[in-house]
Amino acid sequence: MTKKIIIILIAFLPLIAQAHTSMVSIGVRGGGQTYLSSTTDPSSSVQGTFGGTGTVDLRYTFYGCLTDRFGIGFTLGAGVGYGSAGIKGHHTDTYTNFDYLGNQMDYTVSSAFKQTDRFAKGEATLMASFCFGNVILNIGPRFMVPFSASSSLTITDANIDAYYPAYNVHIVNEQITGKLDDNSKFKIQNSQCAIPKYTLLMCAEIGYEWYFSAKSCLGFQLYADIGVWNSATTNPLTTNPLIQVAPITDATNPVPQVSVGSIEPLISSRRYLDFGVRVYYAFSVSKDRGYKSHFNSRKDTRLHRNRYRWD
Amino acid sequence: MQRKLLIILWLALSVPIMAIDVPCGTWLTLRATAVEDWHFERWSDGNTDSVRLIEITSDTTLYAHFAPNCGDYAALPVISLYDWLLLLDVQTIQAKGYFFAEENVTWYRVRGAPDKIDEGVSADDERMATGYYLTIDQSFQGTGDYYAVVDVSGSPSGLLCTSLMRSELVHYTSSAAPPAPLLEPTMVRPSEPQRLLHLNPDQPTTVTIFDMNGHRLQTLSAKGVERLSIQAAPVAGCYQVLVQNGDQRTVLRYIVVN
Repeated sequence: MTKKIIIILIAFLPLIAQAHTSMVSIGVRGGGQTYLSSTTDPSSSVQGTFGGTGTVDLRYTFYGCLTDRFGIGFTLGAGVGYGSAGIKGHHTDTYTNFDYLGNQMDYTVSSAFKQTDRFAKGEATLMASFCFGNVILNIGPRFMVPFSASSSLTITDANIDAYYPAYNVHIVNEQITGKLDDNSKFKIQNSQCAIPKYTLLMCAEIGYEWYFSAKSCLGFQLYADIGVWNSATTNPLTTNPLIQVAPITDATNPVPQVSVGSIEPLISSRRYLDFGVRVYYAFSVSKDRGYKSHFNSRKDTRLHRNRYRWD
Repeated sequence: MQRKLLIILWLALSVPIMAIDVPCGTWLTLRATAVEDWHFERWSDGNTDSVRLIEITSDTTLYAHFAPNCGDYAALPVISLYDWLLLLDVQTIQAKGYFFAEENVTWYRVRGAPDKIDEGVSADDERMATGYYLTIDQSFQGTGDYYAVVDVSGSPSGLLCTSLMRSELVHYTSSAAPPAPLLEPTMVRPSEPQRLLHLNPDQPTTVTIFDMNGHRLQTLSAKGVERLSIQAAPVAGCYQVLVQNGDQRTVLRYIVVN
Protein backbone atom coordinates (compact mmCIF):
# COMPACT_ATOMS: atom_id res chain seq x y z
CA MET A 1 0.00 0.00 0.00
CA THR A 2 2.82 2.37 0.90
CA LYS A 3 4.49 1.68 -2.43
CA LYS A 4 1.32 2.52 -4.30
CA ILE A 5 0.99 5.82 -2.45
CA ILE A 6 4.61 6.69 -3.25
CA ILE A 7 4.07 5.88 -6.91
CA ILE A 8 0.94 8.01 -7.05
CA LEU A 9 2.71 10.88 -5.34
CA ILE A 10 5.58 10.67 -7.81
CA ALA A 11 3.13 10.59 -10.69
CA PHE A 12 1.35 13.70 -9.51
CA LEU A 13 4.46 15.57 -8.44
CA PRO A 14 4.66 17.56 -11.67
CA LEU A 15 1.08 18.68 -11.31
CA ILE A 16 1.52 19.90 -7.78
CA ALA A 17 4.77 21.63 -8.57
CA GLN A 18 4.58 25.38 -8.44
CA ALA A 19 6.14 25.86 -11.88
CA HIS A 20 5.87 23.71 -14.90
CA THR A 21 6.70 23.80 -18.52
CA SER A 22 5.84 21.96 -21.75
CA MET A 23 8.19 21.18 -24.57
CA VAL A 24 7.73 19.69 -28.01
CA SER A 25 10.68 18.07 -29.71
CA ILE A 26 11.38 16.72 -33.16
CA GLY A 27 14.21 14.24 -33.26
CA VAL A 28 16.04 11.66 -35.24
CA ARG A 29 17.45 8.48 -33.78
CA GLY A 30 20.11 6.38 -35.29
CA GLY A 31 21.99 3.35 -34.09
CA GLY A 32 22.01 -0.38 -34.16
CA GLN A 33 19.55 -3.09 -33.34
CA THR A 34 19.75 -6.78 -32.78
CA TYR A 35 18.11 -9.70 -31.04
CA LEU A 36 19.23 -11.11 -27.74
CA SER A 37 18.70 -14.75 -28.55
CA SER A 38 19.44 -18.17 -27.23
CA THR A 39 18.57 -21.78 -27.94
CA THR A 40 18.03 -24.87 -25.85
CA ASP A 41 18.68 -27.14 -28.82
CA PRO A 42 22.03 -28.84 -28.07
CA SER A 43 22.73 -29.20 -31.78
CA SER A 44 22.37 -25.48 -32.43
CA SER A 45 24.05 -22.25 -31.59
CA VAL A 46 22.52 -18.83 -32.19
CA GLN A 47 23.49 -15.25 -31.65
CA GLY A 48 22.11 -11.93 -32.73
CA THR A 49 23.59 -9.91 -35.56
CA PHE A 50 23.55 -6.15 -35.63
CA GLY A 51 21.78 -4.04 -38.19
CA GLY A 52 21.21 -0.34 -38.51
CA THR A 53 18.12 1.52 -37.49
CA GLY A 54 16.85 5.02 -37.98
CA THR A 55 13.75 6.74 -36.58
CA VAL A 56 12.15 10.15 -36.67
CA ASP A 57 9.95 11.07 -33.76
CA LEU A 58 7.80 13.77 -32.33
CA ARG A 59 7.46 14.21 -28.58
CA TYR A 60 5.65 16.22 -26.03
CA THR A 61 7.28 16.64 -22.62
CA PHE A 62 5.73 18.10 -19.50
CA TYR A 63 7.91 19.05 -16.56
CA GLY A 64 7.01 20.12 -13.12
CA CYS A 65 9.88 22.09 -11.65
CA LEU A 66 10.41 21.00 -8.08
CA THR A 67 13.57 22.92 -7.33
CA ASP A 68 15.68 25.39 -9.17
CA ARG A 69 17.55 22.57 -10.84
CA PHE A 70 15.32 19.54 -10.66
CA GLY A 71 12.23 18.84 -12.69
CA ILE A 72 10.09 15.78 -13.08
CA GLY A 73 7.49 14.99 -15.69
CA PHE A 74 6.54 12.75 -18.48
CA THR A 75 7.12 12.40 -22.18
CA LEU A 76 4.65 11.27 -24.80
CA GLY A 77 6.00 10.48 -28.20
CA ALA A 78 5.42 8.81 -31.51
CA GLY A 79 7.84 7.86 -34.21
CA VAL A 80 8.38 5.92 -37.36
CA GLY A 81 11.52 4.25 -38.52
CA TYR A 82 13.22 1.48 -40.39
CA GLY A 83 15.94 -0.97 -39.59
CA SER A 84 17.26 -4.46 -39.72
CA ALA A 85 18.39 -7.06 -37.25
CA GLY A 86 19.19 -10.71 -37.49
CA ILE A 87 20.27 -13.96 -36.00
CA LYS A 88 23.09 -16.18 -37.09
CA GLY A 89 24.21 -19.54 -35.89
CA HIS A 90 24.97 -23.14 -36.69
CA HIS A 91 22.72 -26.13 -36.66
CA THR A 92 22.91 -29.88 -37.18
CA ASP A 93 19.96 -32.12 -37.99
CA THR A 94 19.87 -35.90 -38.03
CA TYR A 95 17.05 -37.92 -39.55
CA THR A 96 16.45 -41.07 -41.55
CA ASN A 97 14.95 -41.49 -45.02
CA PHE A 98 14.15 -44.61 -46.98
CA ASP A 99 14.45 -44.66 -50.74
CA TYR A 100 12.03 -46.45 -53.04
CA LEU A 101 14.30 -49.50 -52.99
CA GLY A 102 14.01 -49.71 -49.22
CA ASN A 103 17.54 -48.54 -48.50
CA GLN A 104 17.93 -46.77 -45.20
CA MET A 105 19.69 -43.42 -45.47
CA ASP A 106 20.78 -41.74 -42.25
CA TYR A 107 21.17 -38.04 -42.87
CA THR A 108 23.39 -35.70 -40.89
CA VAL A 109 22.88 -32.20 -42.18
CA SER A 110 24.76 -29.26 -40.77
CA SER A 111 25.04 -25.67 -41.87
CA ALA A 112 25.69 -22.15 -40.77
CA PHE A 113 22.83 -19.72 -41.22
CA LYS A 114 22.09 -16.06 -41.02
CA GLN A 115 18.61 -14.65 -41.00
CA THR A 116 18.12 -10.95 -41.54
CA ASP A 117 14.86 -9.20 -40.71
CA ARG A 118 14.14 -5.82 -42.25
CA PHE A 119 11.13 -3.91 -41.10
CA ALA A 120 9.60 -0.49 -40.75
CA LYS A 121 8.26 0.32 -37.35
CA GLY A 122 5.85 2.66 -35.72
CA GLU A 123 6.23 3.39 -32.06
CA ALA A 124 4.51 5.12 -29.22
CA THR A 125 6.37 6.17 -26.09
CA LEU A 126 5.35 7.10 -22.60
CA MET A 127 8.26 7.79 -20.32
CA ALA A 128 8.95 9.36 -16.99
CA SER A 129 11.22 12.35 -17.53
CA PHE A 130 13.69 13.92 -15.19
CA CYS A 131 15.84 16.96 -15.68
CA PHE A 132 18.83 17.86 -13.59
CA GLY A 133 19.88 21.20 -14.91
CA ASN A 134 20.53 20.53 -18.56
CA VAL A 135 20.84 16.80 -18.15
CA ILE A 136 17.75 14.89 -19.24
CA LEU A 137 16.84 11.37 -18.18
CA ASN A 138 13.88 9.48 -19.61
CA ILE A 139 12.77 6.01 -18.56
CA GLY A 140 9.67 4.14 -19.55
CA PRO A 141 7.89 1.80 -21.90
CA ARG A 142 7.79 2.01 -25.66
CA PHE A 143 5.24 0.19 -27.74
CA MET A 144 6.62 -0.83 -31.13
CA VAL A 145 4.65 -2.06 -34.10
CA PRO A 146 6.78 -3.49 -36.93
CA PHE A 147 5.29 -3.37 -40.42
CA SER A 148 6.38 -3.98 -44.02
CA ALA A 149 8.63 -6.71 -42.69
CA SER A 150 10.71 -8.99 -44.85
CA SER A 151 13.20 -11.67 -43.90
CA SER A 152 15.85 -13.55 -45.75
CA LEU A 153 17.80 -16.60 -44.73
CA THR A 154 21.29 -17.36 -46.02
CA ILE A 155 22.69 -20.86 -45.67
CA THR A 156 26.44 -21.33 -45.79
CA ASP A 157 28.73 -24.30 -45.36
CA ALA A 158 25.86 -26.71 -45.83
CA ASN A 159 27.04 -30.28 -45.41
CA ILE A 160 24.59 -33.02 -46.35
CA ASP A 161 25.88 -36.44 -45.36
CA ALA A 162 23.76 -39.40 -46.41
CA TYR A 163 24.93 -42.59 -44.79
CA TYR A 164 23.94 -46.01 -46.11
CA PRO A 165 24.45 -48.26 -43.07
CA ALA A 166 23.85 -51.40 -45.13
CA TYR A 167 26.96 -50.63 -47.16
CA ASN A 168 28.84 -48.47 -44.61
CA VAL A 169 29.24 -45.64 -47.08
CA HIS A 170 28.77 -41.91 -46.55
CA ILE A 171 27.68 -39.84 -49.54
CA VAL A 172 28.50 -36.20 -48.90
CA ASN A 173 27.12 -33.22 -50.79
CA GLU A 174 26.14 -35.04 -53.94
CA GLN A 175 23.19 -34.21 -56.12
CA ILE A 176 21.77 -37.71 -55.94
CA THR A 177 21.54 -37.67 -52.14
CA GLY A 178 21.02 -33.94 -51.63
CA LYS A 179 23.16 -30.91 -52.16
CA LEU A 180 22.83 -27.24 -51.39
CA ASP A 181 24.91 -24.58 -53.06
CA ASP A 182 26.99 -22.45 -50.77
CA ASN A 183 25.58 -19.07 -49.84
CA SER A 184 22.09 -20.15 -50.81
CA LYS A 185 19.72 -17.32 -50.03
CA PHE A 186 16.05 -17.84 -49.32
CA LYS A 187 13.26 -15.37 -48.88
CA ILE A 188 11.26 -16.18 -45.80
CA GLN A 189 7.57 -16.46 -46.41
CA ASN A 190 5.39 -14.20 -44.34
CA SER A 191 3.84 -17.22 -42.70
CA GLN A 192 7.27 -18.23 -41.42
CA CYS A 193 8.36 -14.73 -40.51
CA ALA A 194 8.72 -14.52 -36.76
CA ILE A 195 8.79 -10.77 -36.43
CA PRO A 196 6.06 -10.13 -33.89
CA LYS A 197 3.09 -7.93 -34.80
CA TYR A 198 3.85 -5.75 -31.80
CA THR A 199 6.21 -5.69 -28.91
CA LEU A 200 6.77 -3.77 -25.72
CA LEU A 201 10.15 -2.27 -24.98
CA MET A 202 11.63 -0.75 -21.91
CA CYS A 203 13.70 2.24 -22.90
CA ALA A 204 16.09 4.57 -21.19
CA GLU A 205 17.58 7.80 -22.47
CA ILE A 206 20.12 10.16 -21.04
CA GLY A 207 21.15 13.35 -22.70
CA TYR A 208 22.07 17.00 -22.57
CA GLU A 209 20.31 20.11 -23.88
CA TRP A 210 21.89 23.25 -25.20
CA TYR A 211 19.56 26.25 -25.02
CA PHE A 212 20.28 28.79 -27.66
CA SER A 213 17.19 30.94 -27.09
CA ALA A 214 14.56 31.38 -24.48
CA LYS A 215 12.22 28.97 -26.16
CA SER A 216 14.29 26.42 -27.98
CA CYS A 217 17.15 24.08 -27.52
CA LEU A 218 19.11 21.34 -29.21
CA GLY A 219 19.41 18.03 -27.46
CA PHE A 220 21.64 15.01 -27.71
CA GLN A 221 20.79 11.70 -26.08
CA LEU A 222 22.07 8.21 -25.78
CA TYR A 223 19.31 5.63 -25.71
CA ALA A 224 18.75 1.92 -25.37
CA ASP A 225 15.61 -0.18 -25.75
CA ILE A 226 15.18 -3.78 -24.72
CA GLY A 227 12.22 -6.03 -25.37
CA VAL A 228 10.12 -6.96 -22.39
CA TRP A 229 8.65 -10.04 -24.03
CA ASN A 230 10.33 -13.12 -25.35
CA SER A 231 9.19 -13.14 -28.96
CA ALA A 232 10.38 -16.67 -29.73
CA THR A 233 7.40 -18.56 -31.02
CA THR A 234 8.29 -22.19 -31.29
CA ASN A 235 9.23 -24.92 -28.92
CA PRO A 236 12.68 -26.16 -29.94
CA LEU A 237 11.73 -29.66 -28.88
CA THR A 238 9.28 -29.85 -31.79
CA THR A 239 11.83 -28.71 -34.30
CA ASN A 240 11.66 -29.60 -37.96
CA PRO A 241 14.88 -29.99 -39.91
CA LEU A 242 16.30 -26.71 -41.10
CA ILE A 243 17.51 -28.41 -44.27
CA GLN A 244 15.15 -31.19 -45.28
CA VAL A 245 16.13 -33.72 -47.93
CA ALA A 246 13.08 -35.45 -49.33
CA PRO A 247 13.17 -39.24 -49.64
CA ILE A 248 14.09 -40.63 -53.05
CA THR A 249 10.77 -41.95 -54.25
CA ASP A 250 10.77 -41.63 -58.04
CA ALA A 251 12.89 -44.05 -60.03
CA THR A 252 12.58 -41.91 -63.15
CA ASN A 253 13.69 -38.77 -61.35
CA PRO A 254 15.68 -39.90 -58.34
CA VAL A 255 17.31 -36.58 -57.44
CA PRO A 256 15.80 -35.62 -54.08
CA GLN A 257 14.39 -32.21 -53.40
CA VAL A 258 16.24 -30.18 -50.78
CA SER A 259 14.19 -27.60 -48.95
CA VAL A 260 15.11 -25.08 -46.32
CA GLY A 261 12.77 -24.38 -43.45
CA SER A 262 12.77 -21.78 -40.76
CA ILE A 263 15.26 -21.15 -37.99
CA GLU A 264 12.44 -20.14 -35.67
CA PRO A 265 12.03 -23.62 -34.16
CA LEU A 266 15.66 -23.45 -33.06
CA ILE A 267 15.25 -20.26 -31.07
CA SER A 268 14.00 -20.52 -27.54
CA SER A 269 14.49 -16.90 -26.57
CA ARG A 270 14.50 -13.73 -28.62
CA ARG A 271 14.35 -10.18 -27.31
CA TYR A 272 14.65 -7.04 -29.33
CA LEU A 273 17.46 -4.65 -28.46
CA ASP A 274 18.39 -1.34 -30.00
CA PHE A 275 20.60 1.51 -28.96
CA GLY A 276 22.11 4.63 -30.41
CA VAL A 277 21.87 8.38 -30.28
CA ARG A 278 19.00 10.81 -30.61
CA VAL A 279 19.44 14.37 -31.77
CA TYR A 280 16.48 16.65 -31.44
CA TYR A 281 15.26 20.15 -31.60
CA ALA A 282 12.91 21.18 -28.80
CA PHE A 283 10.84 24.26 -28.30
CA SER A 284 8.52 25.47 -25.60
CA VAL A 285 4.79 25.40 -25.99
CA SER A 286 4.10 26.85 -22.49
CA LYS A 287 2.09 30.04 -22.27
CA ASP A 288 2.62 30.89 -18.63
CA ARG A 289 5.68 32.35 -17.02
CA GLY A 290 6.55 29.07 -15.52
CA TYR A 291 8.30 27.98 -18.66
CA LYS A 292 10.35 31.09 -18.85
CA SER A 293 11.27 30.83 -15.27
CA HIS A 294 12.18 27.28 -15.77
CA PHE A 295 14.21 28.07 -18.85
CA ASN A 296 15.88 30.95 -17.16
CA SER A 297 16.47 28.79 -14.19
CA ARG A 298 18.15 26.18 -16.34
CA LYS A 299 20.07 28.70 -18.36
CA ASP A 300 21.06 30.47 -15.19
CA THR A 301 21.93 27.24 -13.56
CA ARG A 302 24.17 26.44 -16.45
CA LEU A 303 25.82 29.84 -16.49
CA HIS A 304 25.50 31.10 -12.92
CA ARG A 305 25.04 28.11 -10.77
CA ASN A 306 22.74 28.51 -7.77
CA ARG A 307 22.24 32.20 -8.27
CA TYR A 308 18.70 31.95 -9.59
CA ARG A 309 15.68 30.97 -7.56
CA TRP A 310 12.29 29.88 -8.77
CA ASP A 311 9.55 32.50 -8.52
CA MET B 1 86.52 -79.27 -56.69
CA GLN B 2 83.82 -80.09 -54.19
CA ARG B 3 80.37 -80.12 -55.74
CA LYS B 4 77.55 -78.32 -54.12
CA LEU B 5 73.82 -78.88 -54.33
CA LEU B 6 71.43 -76.08 -55.13
CA ILE B 7 67.81 -76.80 -54.49
CA ILE B 8 65.27 -74.33 -55.81
CA LEU B 9 61.60 -74.55 -55.03
CA TRP B 10 58.82 -72.64 -56.70
CA LEU B 11 56.01 -72.11 -54.30
CA ALA B 12 53.21 -71.82 -56.73
CA LEU B 13 50.24 -74.07 -57.21
CA SER B 14 52.23 -77.07 -58.38
CA VAL B 15 55.29 -76.37 -56.13
CA PRO B 16 57.98 -77.59 -58.51
CA ILE B 17 61.35 -78.45 -57.09
CA MET B 18 64.59 -78.24 -58.96
CA ALA B 19 67.91 -79.58 -57.69
CA ILE B 20 71.19 -78.83 -59.42
CA ASP B 21 74.58 -80.25 -58.57
CA VAL B 22 77.24 -77.71 -59.48
CA PRO B 23 80.93 -77.18 -58.69
CA CYS B 24 81.70 -75.00 -55.70
CA GLY B 25 82.22 -71.39 -56.71
CA THR B 26 79.93 -71.61 -59.71
CA TRP B 27 77.99 -68.46 -60.59
CA LEU B 28 74.41 -69.11 -61.54
CA THR B 29 71.62 -66.91 -62.86
CA LEU B 30 68.28 -67.64 -61.20
CA ARG B 31 65.10 -66.55 -62.94
CA ALA B 32 61.74 -66.77 -61.14
CA THR B 33 58.98 -66.74 -63.73
CA ALA B 34 55.37 -66.81 -62.59
CA VAL B 35 52.65 -68.70 -64.33
CA GLU B 36 49.69 -66.75 -65.66
CA ASP B 37 47.71 -64.85 -63.01
CA TRP B 38 50.49 -65.27 -60.49
CA HIS B 39 53.40 -62.98 -59.78
CA PHE B 40 56.79 -63.33 -58.14
CA GLU B 41 57.06 -61.80 -54.69
CA ARG B 42 60.51 -62.64 -53.21
CA TRP B 43 63.14 -65.24 -52.61
CA SER B 44 63.39 -67.01 -49.28
CA ASP B 45 66.53 -65.01 -48.44
CA GLY B 46 64.56 -61.79 -48.82
CA ASN B 47 65.84 -60.85 -52.25
CA THR B 48 63.06 -59.47 -54.43
CA ASP B 49 64.80 -59.62 -57.81
CA SER B 50 63.09 -62.17 -59.99
CA VAL B 51 66.36 -62.54 -61.89
CA ARG B 52 69.48 -62.76 -59.79
CA LEU B 53 73.08 -63.93 -59.95
CA ILE B 54 74.43 -66.07 -57.11
CA GLU B 55 77.70 -67.82 -56.39
CA ILE B 56 77.35 -71.35 -55.02
CA THR B 57 79.84 -71.79 -52.18
CA SER B 58 77.92 -74.30 -50.08
CA ASP B 59 74.81 -76.45 -50.20
CA THR B 60 72.05 -73.94 -50.72
CA THR B 61 68.26 -74.08 -50.68
CA LEU B 62 66.22 -71.20 -52.04
CA TYR B 63 62.48 -70.79 -52.25
CA ALA B 64 60.78 -68.52 -54.73
CA HIS B 65 57.59 -67.10 -53.31
CA PHE B 66 54.74 -66.36 -55.70
CA ALA B 67 51.33 -64.86 -55.06
CA PRO B 68 48.18 -64.94 -57.11
CA ASN B 69 47.15 -61.91 -59.14
CA CYS B 70 43.85 -62.03 -57.40
CA GLY B 71 43.27 -58.35 -57.88
CA ASP B 72 41.83 -58.88 -61.31
CA TYR B 73 39.66 -61.69 -60.04
CA ALA B 74 38.42 -60.06 -56.92
CA ALA B 75 35.14 -58.64 -58.23
CA LEU B 76 34.52 -56.72 -55.04
CA PRO B 77 30.81 -56.08 -54.67
CA VAL B 78 29.47 -52.80 -56.02
CA ILE B 79 25.93 -51.56 -55.41
CA SER B 80 24.29 -49.56 -58.19
CA LEU B 81 21.51 -47.28 -56.98
CA TYR B 82 19.02 -45.34 -59.06
CA ASP B 83 21.43 -45.58 -62.06
CA TRP B 84 23.09 -42.52 -60.47
CA LEU B 85 25.22 -43.90 -57.72
CA LEU B 86 27.81 -46.67 -57.49
CA LEU B 87 28.72 -47.75 -53.96
CA LEU B 88 31.43 -50.10 -52.97
CA ASP B 89 29.84 -52.48 -50.48
CA VAL B 90 32.30 -51.57 -47.78
CA GLN B 91 30.30 -53.36 -45.14
CA THR B 92 30.55 -56.72 -46.91
CA ILE B 93 34.17 -56.30 -47.89
CA GLN B 94 35.25 -55.32 -44.41
CA ALA B 95 33.31 -58.21 -42.96
CA LYS B 96 35.58 -60.46 -45.01
CA GLY B 97 38.64 -58.97 -43.30
CA TYR B 98 39.72 -56.39 -45.88
CA PHE B 99 40.25 -52.85 -44.65
CA PHE B 100 40.95 -49.71 -46.62
CA ALA B 101 40.30 -46.01 -46.48
CA GLU B 102 38.38 -43.88 -48.96
CA GLU B 103 41.58 -42.67 -50.55
CA ASN B 104 42.47 -46.29 -51.29
CA VAL B 105 39.55 -46.65 -53.71
CA THR B 106 39.85 -45.38 -57.28
CA TRP B 107 37.06 -45.53 -59.82
CA TYR B 108 37.62 -46.03 -63.52
CA ARG B 109 35.54 -45.86 -66.68
CA VAL B 110 36.43 -48.56 -69.16
CA ARG B 111 37.97 -47.62 -72.47
CA GLY B 112 37.94 -50.58 -74.79
CA ALA B 113 38.53 -53.57 -72.56
CA PRO B 114 39.08 -53.24 -68.81
CA ASP B 115 42.75 -52.86 -68.01
CA LYS B 116 44.53 -55.52 -66.02
CA ILE B 117 45.64 -54.24 -62.67
CA ASP B 118 48.19 -56.85 -61.79
CA GLU B 119 50.89 -54.28 -62.43
CA GLY B 120 49.10 -51.85 -60.15
CA VAL B 121 48.50 -49.29 -62.85
CA SER B 122 45.54 -48.73 -65.09
CA ALA B 123 46.71 -48.34 -68.68
CA ASP B 124 44.08 -46.46 -70.61
CA ASP B 125 40.91 -46.69 -68.57
CA GLU B 126 39.69 -43.26 -67.49
CA ARG B 127 40.32 -42.42 -63.87
CA MET B 128 37.09 -40.95 -62.50
CA ALA B 129 37.28 -40.31 -58.78
CA THR B 130 38.54 -41.49 -55.43
CA GLY B 131 36.27 -42.65 -52.63
CA TYR B 132 33.82 -45.28 -51.57
CA TYR B 133 31.29 -44.16 -54.16
CA LEU B 134 31.04 -42.73 -57.65
CA THR B 135 28.44 -40.37 -59.05
CA ILE B 136 28.64 -38.15 -62.11
CA ASP B 137 25.67 -35.90 -61.36
CA GLN B 138 23.63 -37.59 -64.04
CA SER B 139 22.35 -41.03 -64.84
CA PHE B 140 25.06 -43.53 -65.70
CA GLN B 141 22.89 -45.01 -68.42
CA GLY B 142 24.72 -44.97 -71.72
CA THR B 143 27.90 -43.47 -70.27
CA GLY B 144 30.12 -46.55 -70.14
CA ASP B 145 31.23 -49.36 -67.89
CA TYR B 146 32.76 -48.73 -64.50
CA TYR B 147 34.81 -50.46 -61.87
CA ALA B 148 36.84 -49.62 -58.81
CA VAL B 149 40.34 -50.63 -57.80
CA VAL B 150 40.93 -50.96 -54.08
CA ASP B 151 44.28 -50.97 -52.35
CA VAL B 152 43.86 -53.40 -49.46
CA SER B 153 47.51 -53.47 -48.49
CA GLY B 154 46.55 -52.18 -45.06
CA SER B 155 44.60 -55.34 -44.36
CA PRO B 156 45.85 -58.03 -42.00
CA SER B 157 48.27 -60.52 -43.48
CA GLY B 158 47.10 -64.00 -44.27
CA LEU B 159 44.28 -62.90 -46.54
CA LEU B 160 44.02 -64.09 -50.09
CA CYS B 161 44.86 -60.67 -51.48
CA THR B 162 46.72 -57.88 -49.76
CA SER B 163 47.46 -55.55 -52.63
CA LEU B 164 45.16 -54.16 -55.31
CA MET B 165 41.73 -55.66 -55.83
CA ARG B 166 39.26 -54.91 -58.58
CA SER B 167 35.56 -54.47 -58.08
CA GLU B 168 32.99 -56.10 -60.26
CA LEU B 169 32.33 -54.36 -63.55
CA VAL B 170 29.14 -52.32 -63.74
CA HIS B 171 27.69 -52.02 -67.22
CA TYR B 172 26.11 -48.79 -68.38
CA THR B 173 27.38 -48.83 -71.91
CA SER B 174 24.05 -48.63 -73.65
CA SER B 175 20.64 -48.18 -72.17
CA ALA B 176 19.13 -49.89 -75.21
CA ALA B 177 21.22 -53.02 -74.89
CA PRO B 178 19.88 -55.88 -72.79
CA PRO B 179 21.50 -56.11 -69.37
CA ALA B 180 24.65 -58.15 -69.27
CA PRO B 181 24.77 -61.37 -67.23
CA LEU B 182 25.40 -60.59 -63.60
CA LEU B 183 26.81 -62.74 -60.83
CA GLU B 184 25.97 -61.96 -57.23
CA PRO B 185 27.37 -61.99 -54.73
CA THR B 186 30.92 -61.86 -55.97
CA MET B 187 32.74 -62.00 -52.65
CA VAL B 188 31.66 -65.17 -50.90
CA ARG B 189 32.49 -67.79 -48.34
CA PRO B 190 33.40 -71.30 -49.53
CA SER B 191 30.42 -73.09 -51.08
CA GLU B 192 28.14 -70.07 -50.57
CA PRO B 193 25.19 -69.95 -53.00
CA GLN B 194 25.37 -67.45 -55.85
CA ARG B 195 22.93 -66.24 -58.48
CA LEU B 196 23.59 -65.73 -62.13
CA LEU B 197 21.13 -63.10 -63.40
CA HIS B 198 20.10 -61.43 -66.67
CA LEU B 199 20.36 -64.55 -68.81
CA ASN B 200 18.55 -64.56 -72.12
CA PRO B 201 15.94 -67.31 -71.80
CA ASP B 202 15.61 -67.57 -75.58
CA GLN B 203 19.19 -68.76 -75.89
CA PRO B 204 20.89 -71.82 -74.42
CA THR B 205 23.24 -70.97 -71.59
CA THR B 206 26.49 -72.68 -70.75
CA VAL B 207 28.33 -71.72 -67.61
CA THR B 208 31.90 -72.84 -67.08
CA ILE B 209 33.82 -72.14 -63.90
CA PHE B 210 37.62 -71.97 -63.88
CA ASP B 211 40.14 -71.52 -61.14
CA MET B 212 43.00 -69.04 -61.46
CA ASN B 213 45.17 -71.53 -63.28
CA GLY B 214 42.60 -72.07 -65.95
CA HIS B 215 41.56 -75.45 -64.67
CA ARG B 216 37.94 -76.11 -65.45
CA LEU B 217 36.06 -76.87 -62.24
CA GLN B 218 32.46 -77.10 -63.30
CA THR B 219 30.21 -76.79 -66.35
CA LEU B 220 26.49 -76.09 -66.21
CA SER B 221 23.98 -75.93 -69.04
CA ALA B 222 20.50 -74.48 -69.02
CA LYS B 223 17.85 -73.23 -71.42
CA GLY B 224 14.80 -71.05 -71.00
CA VAL B 225 15.95 -69.49 -67.76
CA GLU B 226 16.69 -65.90 -66.80
CA ARG B 227 18.63 -66.81 -63.69
CA LEU B 228 20.70 -69.69 -62.51
CA SER B 229 21.84 -70.72 -59.06
CA ILE B 230 25.40 -71.86 -58.67
CA GLN B 231 27.55 -72.69 -55.71
CA ALA B 232 30.83 -71.01 -55.00
CA ALA B 233 33.99 -73.09 -55.00
CA PRO B 234 34.77 -74.80 -51.68
CA VAL B 235 38.31 -73.45 -51.49
CA ALA B 236 39.46 -69.87 -50.97
CA GLY B 237 40.70 -68.34 -54.18
CA CYS B 238 39.74 -66.41 -57.24
CA TYR B 239 37.52 -67.89 -59.93
CA GLN B 240 36.32 -67.10 -63.41
CA VAL B 241 32.80 -67.79 -64.60
CA LEU B 242 32.48 -67.98 -68.37
CA VAL B 243 28.86 -67.44 -69.42
CA GLN B 244 28.01 -68.42 -72.96
CA ASN B 245 24.48 -67.19 -73.58
CA GLY B 246 23.72 -67.71 -77.26
CA ASP B 247 26.30 -65.64 -79.09
CA GLN B 248 26.99 -63.54 -76.04
CA ARG B 249 30.11 -64.48 -74.14
CA THR B 250 30.74 -62.90 -70.76
CA VAL B 251 33.52 -63.49 -68.29
CA LEU B 252 32.57 -62.92 -64.67
CA ARG B 253 34.74 -63.29 -61.62
CA TYR B 254 34.30 -63.99 -57.98
CA ILE B 255 36.48 -64.43 -54.95
CA VAL B 256 36.12 -66.97 -52.17
CA VAL B 257 37.51 -65.94 -48.81
CA ASN B 258 37.59 -67.90 -45.61
